[in-house]
Order: sequence, then structure tokens, then C-alpha cells
Amino acid sequence: MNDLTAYAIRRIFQSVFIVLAVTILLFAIMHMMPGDPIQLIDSPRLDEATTAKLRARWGLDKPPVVQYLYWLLNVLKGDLGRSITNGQSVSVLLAARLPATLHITLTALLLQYLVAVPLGLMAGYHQGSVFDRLAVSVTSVLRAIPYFWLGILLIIVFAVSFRLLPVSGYRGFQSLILPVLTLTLPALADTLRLTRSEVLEVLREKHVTTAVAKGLRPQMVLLRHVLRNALVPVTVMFFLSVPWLIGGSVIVETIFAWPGTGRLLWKAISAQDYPVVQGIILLITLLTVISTTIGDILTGLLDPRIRAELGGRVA
Amino acid sequence: MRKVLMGLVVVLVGIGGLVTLAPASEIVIATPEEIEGTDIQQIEWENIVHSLVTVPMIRFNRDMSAVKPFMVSDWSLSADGKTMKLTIPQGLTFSSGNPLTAEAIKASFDRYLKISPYATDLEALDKITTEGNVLVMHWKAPPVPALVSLASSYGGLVDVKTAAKITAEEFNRRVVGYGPMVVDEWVQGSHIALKRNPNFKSTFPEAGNQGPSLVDKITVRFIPDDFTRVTEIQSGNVDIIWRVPLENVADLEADDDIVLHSYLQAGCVMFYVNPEAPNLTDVRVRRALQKGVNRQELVAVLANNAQVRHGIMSASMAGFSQKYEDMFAKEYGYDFKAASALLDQAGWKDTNGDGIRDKAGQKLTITAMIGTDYPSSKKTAPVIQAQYKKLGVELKLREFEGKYIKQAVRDKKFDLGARRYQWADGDMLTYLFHTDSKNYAFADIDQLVNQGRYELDPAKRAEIYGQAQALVMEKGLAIPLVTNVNYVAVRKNIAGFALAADGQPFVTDLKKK
Repeated sequence: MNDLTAYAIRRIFQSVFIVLAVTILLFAIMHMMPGDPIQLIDSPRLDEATTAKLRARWGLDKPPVVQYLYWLLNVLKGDLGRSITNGQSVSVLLAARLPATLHITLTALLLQYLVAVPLGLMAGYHQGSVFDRLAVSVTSVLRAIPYFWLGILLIIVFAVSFRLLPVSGYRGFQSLILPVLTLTLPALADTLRLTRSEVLEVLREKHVTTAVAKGLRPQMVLLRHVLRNALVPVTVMFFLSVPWLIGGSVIVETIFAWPGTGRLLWKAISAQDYPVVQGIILLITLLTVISTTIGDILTGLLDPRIRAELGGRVA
Repeated sequence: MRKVLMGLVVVLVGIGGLVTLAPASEIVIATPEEIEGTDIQQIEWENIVHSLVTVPMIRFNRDMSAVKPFMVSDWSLSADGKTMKLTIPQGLTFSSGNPLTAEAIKASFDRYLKISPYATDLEALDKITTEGNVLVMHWKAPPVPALVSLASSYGGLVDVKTAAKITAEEFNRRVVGYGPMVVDEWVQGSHIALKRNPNFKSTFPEAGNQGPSLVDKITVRFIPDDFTRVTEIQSGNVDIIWRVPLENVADLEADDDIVLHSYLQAGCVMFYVNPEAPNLTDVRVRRALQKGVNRQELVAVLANNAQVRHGIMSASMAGFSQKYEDMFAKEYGYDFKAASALLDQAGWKDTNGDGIRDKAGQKLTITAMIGTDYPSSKKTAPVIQAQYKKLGVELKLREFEGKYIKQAVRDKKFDLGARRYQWADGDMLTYLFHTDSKNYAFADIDQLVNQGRYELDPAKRAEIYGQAQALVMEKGLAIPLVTNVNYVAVRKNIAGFALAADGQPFVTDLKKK
């Protein structure tokens, strides 16, 4: 067994404990909130007897520890339970919402990195140039704009004034454009600035000076020596963003009436719909653990120094 | 710049293909809330979707003055109010093709009693029998509140034979019932597409069209954001929007392409008062708070999209009494001097000149729980705060979701708790003030509310509910504030849209011009 394999196995064992800890913590927090999902059904005509019956039906009359153990046992059997507010299976709800969420979050994430990384690279390489100053200033302004404001602005310009894109909804490619732009534009600044600062740092490294002194063409220096090293933290950041792909964005999904998991999670939290909240958070936790592990391994592959460090830790 | 933007968008649109246009006979409706499910018997909240896919046997007419047949050919209630007969027309079928007979309707109600969270609405029901194509409902007591339930979407009929073949979850996703439309596809979180039911027939005398729907398709979109919902109708992408935000009423009224339909909330916005809260144990203080609210100012803040309310019930509710409302206006309407005098009598005086009354070193401070999801409460609360300040009462405002306020009231952990309700019958007092509600426990209120529940004579019933409200007000358990005027916006190219006085839609005549 090589070092990297041993490291991966160790991470898997750690992950089980992390996932368990997160679900226990979440369950405790949810149960610390006042009321329960049945009491929170805001219907004027629901009497106390019916409320008690409904609580018993959903097992909410049992102690929280017992409820948690039931939930955990069912999860181990592959059953995420049913939504208390509408009786639908959590797996079905997630399956219905995940594609819509992934459509915008994945597109936005890819667009963000595809645009921001080259721009950051160029801005760093041409530090102090007009392009550098413009890229940094524009993305900083975009970063300062709140999502809801940007979303409304884009709707007014492209859907109301020019009538070229739909205002909202989940119907094909066109309806994807405005929500994706709303998610991407403010996020560009972070990735661009991170790439730019990494490029600046790498440019000062001795091996880059050596490469330039050896007479390598600037493009070669940039791609082979600068970009590869500068990409390490950017890669880590990319993989850390992955879990939130399924968390969605409540604000963007609300403005654009997008049927994603963000709105589902928000609605479930406000209704204290434990199974739905637990199901989504479980998925986010699992993805966090998996993506950070993959991120670690990939950065190790990109940077031999990190690979050596990982190996040393395992050894 | 404009050209650059246009160019950019044209390129993007080019990639995506052509804009999808709705067929001419499609109507698109937008509601803020997504349905919990399509099966009315499994859910807690109904909306327009249920009025389209599962209609009740009977319905109130538009002004709510009488109950009329909706899909039955005839209905009657015996003089003692204990036998209800409903004649089912021959040859009707559910959208599955299964026959819609008296037996099938009996099965639908048996299922309702078994699984609906609102089965208690029919608590007075003794049994259901059938005599050929006549459904007979036998009641232990006159079914007065049950009539409201039977005549609403909650009385919608479902095909139990189909329900028995699939899981409850599947049936909730795609109900099979009897209505002008049938569920075609429900994209969760986005919309539900309904198609025309060619076998639908209505017997509602006020319907211009008693046959199948005049549109092929109705799509109900779930658009939670107010700005987006309003923009969609202004852009012409949506034909009807529910719950028009108050701040957009004037704009939409001025829009030549849109008509606003309004209805008076069947209920009111009010504060529950906790008589056990430290500064509120003296009834004179509670009375002062009732008299210290200038409701006209609240209506002005709501841009006149509300009515002042001095009692708990509004005019669009069965059992409402104008006589009592006038009496409450006189007794508990705004009277600054009287409110000040009551506080003086209760021993609350401003001894240190800080503008807030005090007694035994204790300031007259009260906390009001305001519903973040009650737009009119949020708007009017600061006005009430200023009005109470003049009276020498410090009102602290705390925002919570309406659901939490409901729970806090039950747990008696509140001073004032905002409450908003909507139900077209005076039996609502049961759920607000009866001991069973867990909000309050007063035997005299219980007795009147119980009495009103089974009183057939409308005049006597209004009198009983008037007396019950009088007790609530006298004890200082509530501060009624306003009754909202709600709006539904409809594009002018839509014909046949109508609302009952309580806001329930009539959809049989709906068509695109």
C-alpha cells in the first residue's frame, strides 16, 4: 500500500466520524428550536387532538435521541425518510430539485473559473497595467453588489427593457442565463484576485527567474512554471466550493423562481421539516468530505512538495 | 452601449434557440406558494390548483349569501338540519374514467374522515348513506361550519379506487379527481401543468360555462418573489398573479393591460393579548391598549388597502354582525383621553417625565411579536408603536415568523402577539379563543362558541358570535386592527375570471380572449 492510498483510507475513516458529528449537531440544533414541525403548521383550523395525532404519526412524540437513531438506521438502509410537511420521500424531493440546482451552480462555477483564472493570470503577469487595474476594479465593484440587487437589475435590463430573456422560470437554456450571471459576476472577484496574487508570488520564485534567464519564451514560463504553481490554491478553493453546489442559492433561486435545493432547504428549515433538512445537509457533508479529500490528492499531484508532505504524514 | 448589450443578448439567445411561446389556449397563473400536494385530503393548505382539479359538490355563490349546487344537480337540508341530500347527475366520471357515483363520493368522504387533518370539520357527521344516485349525509347536529368546508376546495372529490392502487405519495403528486382540469405534470418547485378535462360538467347556476374548460392548458407557476411575480404579469408572460404586493397595487391599477380584482380578507389582523403578562394583568391596561390604537392611521399606512376592524370578524364571514361591529367601534374605537384615563386609574403614571408611564419603579413596557410573514403587520407596527408612545406606553417590536408567534401564544410566552387569519365562517372563533385552541381558557366564551357552531338560523348565529366577540373584547384578550383588502391581478386578455366575496376563485368561465 503506497502512502497516498493509506492516506485516502485514513481520510475515509475520519469522514465517517465527521459525518456522524455533523448530523448529531444538526439534529440537536433543530430540536433546540421552539415548537416542532406539526405545531408550526400555521393553519387556523388544526385542533390540538389532530396535532397530537400527527405528532405521533411522525414519531415526534418520542425523545430526540430515539428519533435520531431511527433516522440513522433508516439512512443506513438507504431511506432518507419523508418530508413532514408534504409526506413526500426526501430522496424524491432531492432528485426533483438537484438537477435544477446543479444546472445553475455548476454552470456558474465553471464559468467563474474559466473567466477568472485566465484574467487573474494576465492581471498578475501584467501587474500595474491598465488591464490589471481595470480587471481588479471591475470585479471588486461586482463583488460589492448584493445578489438580489444584481438579479433585479439583470431582469430589468434583459427581460423587461430588451425583452430578450425570460424574467424567471426553469424552461431551457435561456432561463439559465440570468441566474447564472447573477451567481457568477460577484464571485469572479474572489477567484481573479486569488489567481492574481498567487501569480505575483510565483513570479518572484527563483525557478521562474531561472526559467526566464535560460531564455524560455514568456508564454512557456507563464504556462509551465507560473500557472501550474499558482493553480494549487485555486484548485483547493474550487473543490471547497463543490459541496455548496447542491446547497444552491436561496436568493437567486427565489428571484428567478428556480426550483432548486436552496429554496427547498430554506423552506424546510423554516418549517422544521427535520428529514428534509437532515437529508440535504447529509448530502452536503458527504460532498464536503469527498471533495476536500479529492482536492488534497489533486493538489498533491500538482505540487510534488505537497505530495511529499502527505507521504511524510502517513509515514 | 445599448447596441453592445443587444448584440450580447442576441448571441446568447441564438445559442439557446427560439423563445418558447405558450399556446393560445394556455393560461399561466402565478402564486407565491408552492402546493404541498395535489390531493386536497392529504394537505393543510389549498390554492388555485385544487379549485381546478378537485371541485366540491356545492359552493357558495359569489356574494356568499347562499350555497348552490356546483356539480350535483340538486341539494337540500332538512328543516332540523340533520339530513343533507345531494343528487349526483348520471354519467359523470373521474378523470381516470372511473364512474363518479354517489357510492364513489361516499368513499371519497370516508377517506377524508380517515386521513384529512381537517376531518374534525365534519365532526357532526353521523354517517353517509346512498339511495341510488342520491348521497345522504346524516348529521348529529346541523352542519353549519361543515357547510363552509364542504363548499370549499377541502370538499373536493377524489377517486378512491385509483388512490387505492398507488401509494399515498404518488396520489398526492398526481391526484385523480373531478374538476375542469387534470394534473398533467408537476415540476417540483417550478410549476404544475394542468390539461383540460373533456368530461367535466358543472351545475353552478352562476357559471356562464357549465361544460368543460374553455382553455386547453393552465400552468400554475410558483413564484415566491414579489418583484418577479409582478414583473412577469407586466411583461405579459403570466396572465394572473395571486397576492399582489401592496406597494404594487397603484402601479398595476394604472396599467392599461391589467385589471385588479379585490376581496376583503375573511378575517382580520389583530394582536392576541396575554392577560397573564406582568404589565397586562390589569384589564384596564388591556382596555387602554384597545382604545389607544388609531386604526384609521393604520389604514392610511396601508395605502387604504384595508378596513378598520374593531371586532374579530369581518363582513365577508358567515356569522358576521354589523350591529356588533358598530358597538365595538363605539366601545373600543380610538379614544386617546379614555385610554389615558384608564392607565391613570390602573396606577400607571409618568413620574419621572421620561414620557413612559411607570408604577412601583416598573416602566410600562410591552413587547409585541410581529410576523415577518405578515406584510401588513410589519407596516403598521411602527405606527402603533408611535401611537402607544404618545399614550406613555413603550412598545418594543420583535419580529418572528407567524408560526413561532402562534406557538408562543399557546405557551403564554408573549405580551402582544400578531395574528392574521382567513376563514369564511364565524366558527373560526373556536380556533382562536376556545379552550381547545390552547390560546385561552374561558368557559363563558367556550359556551357561546359551541352554541354558534350548530345554530342554523343566520340571525341567531350572528348574535351568538357577536356576544362571543363581546366577551373577548371585554376581557381584553385581543386588539383587532384591520381587515386587509387582497388583490389578484389579471391581464385584460383573460375573460371569465371571478372571485367570491371571500377570495375563492371561480374558474369555469376562464378563457383567453
